[in-house]
Amino acid sequence: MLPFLSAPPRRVIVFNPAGRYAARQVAEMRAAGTPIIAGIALGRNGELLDGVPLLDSLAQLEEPADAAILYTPPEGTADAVRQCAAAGIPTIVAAAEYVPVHDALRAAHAARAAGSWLLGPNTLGLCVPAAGGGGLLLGSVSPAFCAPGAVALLGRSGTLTLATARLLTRAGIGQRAAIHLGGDTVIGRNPHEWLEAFAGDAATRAVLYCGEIGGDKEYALAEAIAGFPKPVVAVIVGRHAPADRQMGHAGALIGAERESAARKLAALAEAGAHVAPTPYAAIGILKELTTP
Amino acid sequence: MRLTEAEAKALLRRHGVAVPNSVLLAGDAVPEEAASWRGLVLKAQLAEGGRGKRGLVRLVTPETLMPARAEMRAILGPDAADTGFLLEEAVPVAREMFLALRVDGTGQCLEMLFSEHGGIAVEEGKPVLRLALDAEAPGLAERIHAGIGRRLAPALAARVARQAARLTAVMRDEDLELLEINPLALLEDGRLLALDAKLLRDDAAAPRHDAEATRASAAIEERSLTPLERRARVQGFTLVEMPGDVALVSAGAGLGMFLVDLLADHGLAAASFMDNRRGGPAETTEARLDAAFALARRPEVRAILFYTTLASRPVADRIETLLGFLARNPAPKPLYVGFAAAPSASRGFDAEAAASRLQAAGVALLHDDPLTLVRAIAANTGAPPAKAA
Repeated sequence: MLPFLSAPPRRVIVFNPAGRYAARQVAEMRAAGTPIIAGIALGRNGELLDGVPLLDSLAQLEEPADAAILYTPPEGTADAVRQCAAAGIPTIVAAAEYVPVHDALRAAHAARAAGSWLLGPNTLGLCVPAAGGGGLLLGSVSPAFCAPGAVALLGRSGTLTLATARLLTRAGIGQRAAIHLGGDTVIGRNPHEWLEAFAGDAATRAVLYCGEIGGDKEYALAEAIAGFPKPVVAVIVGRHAPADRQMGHAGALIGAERESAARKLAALAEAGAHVAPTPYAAIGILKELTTP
Repeated sequence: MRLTEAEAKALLRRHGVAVPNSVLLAGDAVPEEAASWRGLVLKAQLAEGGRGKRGLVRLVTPETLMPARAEMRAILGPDAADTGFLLEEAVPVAREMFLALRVDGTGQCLEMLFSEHGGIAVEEGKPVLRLALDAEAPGLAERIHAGIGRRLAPALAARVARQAARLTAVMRDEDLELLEINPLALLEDGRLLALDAKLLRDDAAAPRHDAEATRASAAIEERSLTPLERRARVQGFTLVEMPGDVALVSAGAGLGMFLVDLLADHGLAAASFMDNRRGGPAETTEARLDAAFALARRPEVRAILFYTTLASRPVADRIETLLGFLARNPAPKPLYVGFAAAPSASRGFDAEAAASRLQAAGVALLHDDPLTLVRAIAANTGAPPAKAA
């Protein structure tokens, strides 16, 4: 079970909360009710940031945190993740884009070895919507785009995760969680691991996966779908992207035929996923699947 | 970034990996250091494969060196007039092998690919052994040896295994996503030599490394871009130009690709894809609009689509930026605008007033649903009927 679903975090810390982007996200999270207990900002120990106490180091926390959001710049992200893993923090959200891939490998290994769930690097985080605003926001997946429900939304792209959550909500399909896994080649947990984590979640009735061109994560996902007990709907964007051009994300490049959207969709369909060309089509499928 | 062979080999040499003697050809004479070499190979320095088949890698003599270079320049054409040429010592090869290391993002490890047949044999599809490596664990060479032991004689397998283990450290220290040596040559005198090398460096790690050491590779990459793509880089965002009829302004890779697909499904084609770029400024909306308008001045481009998601940034600010830009730069083609804005981004925002101001500024349609916008573009440009939605 995912740590943030089995025990919603009550002691959230934010690394590097004072930058312009981070401060805006911290304000959004606090407005959404995220229990942020401290910010880690080297050199600012004892200060307050909009009422949040700042500490030099994670070691100064009197009680352990149960979730961490890192707005640490890319060159420091691996170290921050390793600190959080060493402190046994079960959910770690690493926001930074452009984390070097070998740093991401080290960070992912450390988090995995500690039993932590690492989102990102390069993630907007996650939202677990709940009726009456009692949900969970770790990062910047705006709760205003989401609604409580039974579809687990897993996305490789932040903007697409946001856009799809919004379309789902407008179509009356609520989400169990909206999770931006991260758009890089190496992310803390792969899509198939997220899928497996939702297998035993009684509140999840279906999964919508929004992937993209490049890499091979969807082939591992296809293997996992074969044994997954709930319907999986899959969209892969980049069907009309040119080959050999990097489309933004570090991994979004069709370097070989198997990295194309067409081949990935075919593999996912063969494994039993309901594949859709766009999120709009996915919504149509989900409506059929989830309507009693 | 893919490194040129010369820069890749210089990098390997710095790490103690044996490569042939070589020199970059500067003038019109055989370089002094090459006078004593057993033979000469001339190689055009392009960051791409298949050079041999194009006549860009040739065995030469001191007499045929300059004519060969002239022939290669003719093959390359005027657009690649600044291509460098590497002159290498030809070496007597007893055996060719293939060795590559890559970052396996899904396996979260380094993957080693090996074949006891190198050179074109690998390109022709000879089977390649794949080994997942934990580069940090002790006994790496021993584990590699166990993997390749059945394909090579024990002593050679041990040497290749030690070489591969050393290269995993090079991968990490040099922030490489791919390190491919093909062929890895066993010479008649028993030495192992990297005869050719393909190295891809992680762009995210570029600030850690000496830019001067990869200047030629960067110049080649730069040369592959269009003038607008180059300008976008300088301005701090990524632009991919494509043959299309709708200039697309967006932010975020996934949303951008979704819009590219949506346009194509409606008989249209995006002429651009945009995303953020490492080190770029926080705000590039005007620069993106400027690039899109430049594309839209082309006769084949029939519309402009501007669409962005705003989770917390104020939509009012974005509208003012757009209106300010339009006041100075009337849209050359019909402009369709959309924002997926969260309530926090729309706080205090008067959508009706904004819509009428945008309409007065020449915006054809303001809508928050991408599909509605794309359908409107398709209807107004007479695109073929939708294939999917």
